[in-house]
Amino acid sequence: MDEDDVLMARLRDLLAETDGPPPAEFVAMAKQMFGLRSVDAELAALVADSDAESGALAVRGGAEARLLTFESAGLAVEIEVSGAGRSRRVLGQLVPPGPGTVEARQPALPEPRAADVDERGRFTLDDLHPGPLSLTCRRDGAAAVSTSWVDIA
Amino acid sequence: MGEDAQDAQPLALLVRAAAADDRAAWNALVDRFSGLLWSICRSFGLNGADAGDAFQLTWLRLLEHLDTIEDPARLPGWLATTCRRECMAVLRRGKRVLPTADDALFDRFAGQAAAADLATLVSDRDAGLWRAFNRLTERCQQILRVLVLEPDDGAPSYDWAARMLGMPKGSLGPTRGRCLAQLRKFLDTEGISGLAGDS
Repeated sequence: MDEDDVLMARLRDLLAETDGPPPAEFVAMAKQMFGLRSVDAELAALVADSDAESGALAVRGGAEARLLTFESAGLAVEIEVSGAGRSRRVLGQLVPPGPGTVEARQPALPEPRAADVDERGRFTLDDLHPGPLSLTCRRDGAAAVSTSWVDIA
Repeated sequence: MGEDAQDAQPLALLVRAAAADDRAAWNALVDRFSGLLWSICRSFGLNGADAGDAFQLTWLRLLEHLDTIEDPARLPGWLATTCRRECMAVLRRGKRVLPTADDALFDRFAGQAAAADLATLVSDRDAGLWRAFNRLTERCQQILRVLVLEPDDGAPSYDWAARMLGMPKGSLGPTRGRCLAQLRKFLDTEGISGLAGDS
């Protein structure tokens, strides 16, 4: 190793010391997340987020909803997230419209929360938590679709 | 598969096993890379709940991509880049800053890492290195932090660091040299040699 390599090694040790190890509770939570996996569902990617689009410094007041759109090959999921404090509400629309079921998964939820999707493809989920959220949408004759994880803080 | 046996497992096997629903394999992946991800969160000056958010979202991203990882050997770099993206997202959400200028954001928040309590550092020599490091420009600190974190994919190169820093790969070597030379100058003024074995 040359001089520079030695100094980099000292720096690596120093930064590891000042950063500290990852907190045990975070590591434990990350392990527990395995139970939140959605197997055999197609992933719908986030394609639009009203929070990411504002061109100016904006402080979103409690009354304004956040609009998110997810897309997979056969299905789009549009949701409106509102609420404040420890409670969030999601109003959703499946495109193309049609009935089915939707299931919300969150690290903060002890069990996935289910809701019906009506004939017009609409659904409502109340009392969700701020934090990461993924929705799995199921309709007859179609593959299940799960939305990409997003933080609905 | 026992927990101890997981430590030595090649990455490709762990990824395949986790994708096949093997919880012990997932736990081994979390254990293996949590240190790297934590260092990245801290290098953005994130702490507490903010760092936790970026950390958790990075693991959730891996969870939703487990089935589609084509080259498991590149997982450390993928995780690190994903973590960086989630750190930037946390910074934007928390501070309501404009979604632009990644460099500017990094410069603003990297400096917060300097608030680390010097009393936690074991020796005067470490405290001196810490002081010297914090005298470097934000850019040099950022570059050295990323180079120090270069994930051990088994094929060390500057590919990942170049992507993280948005710099051409070829300029990293010379820039690293210049930043380290500057660090050595600051160490000299601290009365500490840049060589090993100094006490």
